[in-house]
Amino acid sequence: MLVSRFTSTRDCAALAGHRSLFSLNQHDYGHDLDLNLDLLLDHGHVQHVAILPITNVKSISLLKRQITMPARKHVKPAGTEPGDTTPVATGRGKRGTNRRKPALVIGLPNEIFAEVAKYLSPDDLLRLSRTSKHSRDILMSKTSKHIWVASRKTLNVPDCPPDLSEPQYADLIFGLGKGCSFCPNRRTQKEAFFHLRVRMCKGCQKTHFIQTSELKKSLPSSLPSDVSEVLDLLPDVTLYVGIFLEHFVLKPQADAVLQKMQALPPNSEEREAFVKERRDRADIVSKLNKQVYEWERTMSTEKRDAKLRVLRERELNIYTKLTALGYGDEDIDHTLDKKGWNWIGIFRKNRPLTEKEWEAIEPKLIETIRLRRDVLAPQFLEHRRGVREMEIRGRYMWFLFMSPKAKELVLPREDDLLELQVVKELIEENECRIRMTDERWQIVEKYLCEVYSQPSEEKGAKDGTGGISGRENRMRENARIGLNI
Amino acid sequence: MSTTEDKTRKVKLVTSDNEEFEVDWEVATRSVLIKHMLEDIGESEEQAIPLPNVTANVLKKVLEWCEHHRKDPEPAPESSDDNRKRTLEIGDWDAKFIQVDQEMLFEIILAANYLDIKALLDVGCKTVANMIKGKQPEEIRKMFNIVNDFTPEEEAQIKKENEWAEDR
Repeated sequence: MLVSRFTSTRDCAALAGHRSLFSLNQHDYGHDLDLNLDLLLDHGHVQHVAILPITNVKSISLLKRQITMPARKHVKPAGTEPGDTTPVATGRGKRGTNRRKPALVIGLPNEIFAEVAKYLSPDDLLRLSRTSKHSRDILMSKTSKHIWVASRKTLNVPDCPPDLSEPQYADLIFGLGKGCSFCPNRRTQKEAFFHLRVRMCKGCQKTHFIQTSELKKSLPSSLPSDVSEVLDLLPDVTLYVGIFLEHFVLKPQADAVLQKMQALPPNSEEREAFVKERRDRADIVSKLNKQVYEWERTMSTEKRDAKLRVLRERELNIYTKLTALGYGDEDIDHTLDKKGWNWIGIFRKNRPLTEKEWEAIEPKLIETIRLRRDVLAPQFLEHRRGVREMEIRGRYMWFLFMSPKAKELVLPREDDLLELQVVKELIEENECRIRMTDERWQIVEKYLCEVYSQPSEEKGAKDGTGGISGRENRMRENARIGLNI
Repeated sequence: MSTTEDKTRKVKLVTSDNEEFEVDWEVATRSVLIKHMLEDIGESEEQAIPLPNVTANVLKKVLEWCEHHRKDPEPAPESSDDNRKRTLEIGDWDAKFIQVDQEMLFEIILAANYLDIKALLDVGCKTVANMIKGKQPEEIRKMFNIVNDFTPEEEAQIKKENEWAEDR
């Protein structure tokens, strides 16, 4: 085997052709390394290596003459090279023949593909691997493990357990297929049984789970071990049976363990080794389980927060644009909208608002505003009236209980107050659009002080509206009784 | 270390289709590959740098990027902590710059890789990732002209088979 000692990555790069420079840097080979030819040729884009004595290389121009740059080589999927003995999936028909030219994204050199993958989540990689045989060959090859690892680490997903491949782990964690591990049923409970390494539909849970109490009963009497020992070796889940929580194990897993335990003689070394291996695996599984659930919780919180942030920003953006167009609070208030009016749906999209989208939604929003103005005017007026009345009531209560002036007065009940002409005028001003400010309330307060502090016979003269009606007299009486003042 | 003379220097680049570009040293050395080549050649030589893996139309585009980013600070060395969150956001100028057809996009990525321009490579990779993110296999196929060569049975099977090809 040709082995040459180089003094720096740049020397290596020169020897392998210019394109390898990035690759070598990317993989952190360091500055002083032994490099063998096989390793160098393992890079997707390096097709040949010209071995030159380093000391004789004076400049790039010399290199240019001595090295023929290789044509760009696309990534090599596992098992497609002649002489490559790497086993690949069989039964897929001809491999490497009659294939169309791979699409550009799949044809990227491995290290660039890995760079792209760093920005993709493992479920994106799974979906990408399911687009074609070529992409599947690349991503499902162990040589692509670093791509999955980089992608997983970006999302802080806990490390892949030793009994699963990275894609299997990604599938389990992200539940991409959303299918059942035992049947083609796509309707399955959202939560995978991480420690059992399966996702199951309700139907298969019935047929593939066995309650631990049932398992105990079904164990053969010939089994020389303590029953609890067998159960200890099996990961279990707790599920509700009626109102009770019961422990279940997977039947296939239980059968496999039982078979093995029966085959191994008691107190034998093999048996101990098997029990130890199963217990160690159970430890790893339970540790992972905890990490995965914690990760899942953090992720779902982050996801929810991010979604809310996008939603709020979008809402704010749309409202700002509508306000800038001169639309008021009622124009953008959807609370009284009729069924079928297009408003909420436009707002509740989980994506930021783009200018292009605004151009598309603006006419729809304006149409809804027009409808609101045409159809809902009476309801909005009623709503405003209600708000003004609430303001008056609030201020009146404060006046009754907090103002010393009120103690000297015989005042009407809240409801009757709203019937007073002076109050009505304030509420109805500009179609109930004017808020009850301190200044405006002073008018009411002044009126109350003037009218309700005098004996009834004097009131007529003072009341600009033509004297206190019998109704207002009754109101005062009611107030005396009702408010106990 | 670059000197004042370096910054006023012009650099000649020759593409695979023999087109020559003369650019400022500061622009050309956004490429680590060119920078190293220039160091090797030394100041005395005024010879053109051959770029046999880049065509003129791609180099023109790459140089446009280098020109815009000529004053950018040197990128920080890659953090060993790979757990950091990677953002898919691209600056406004870069986003506009990278709005090219797919073939050009991949050519820019390959050129950035070859020329060792990390920041440009990131822009390209993020763009491709953005195109893939959240999409179903069918949508990805459509986006990148990938031919679905699975039979329906195979397609159903691969959803369950996620072990490494070598372990099957």
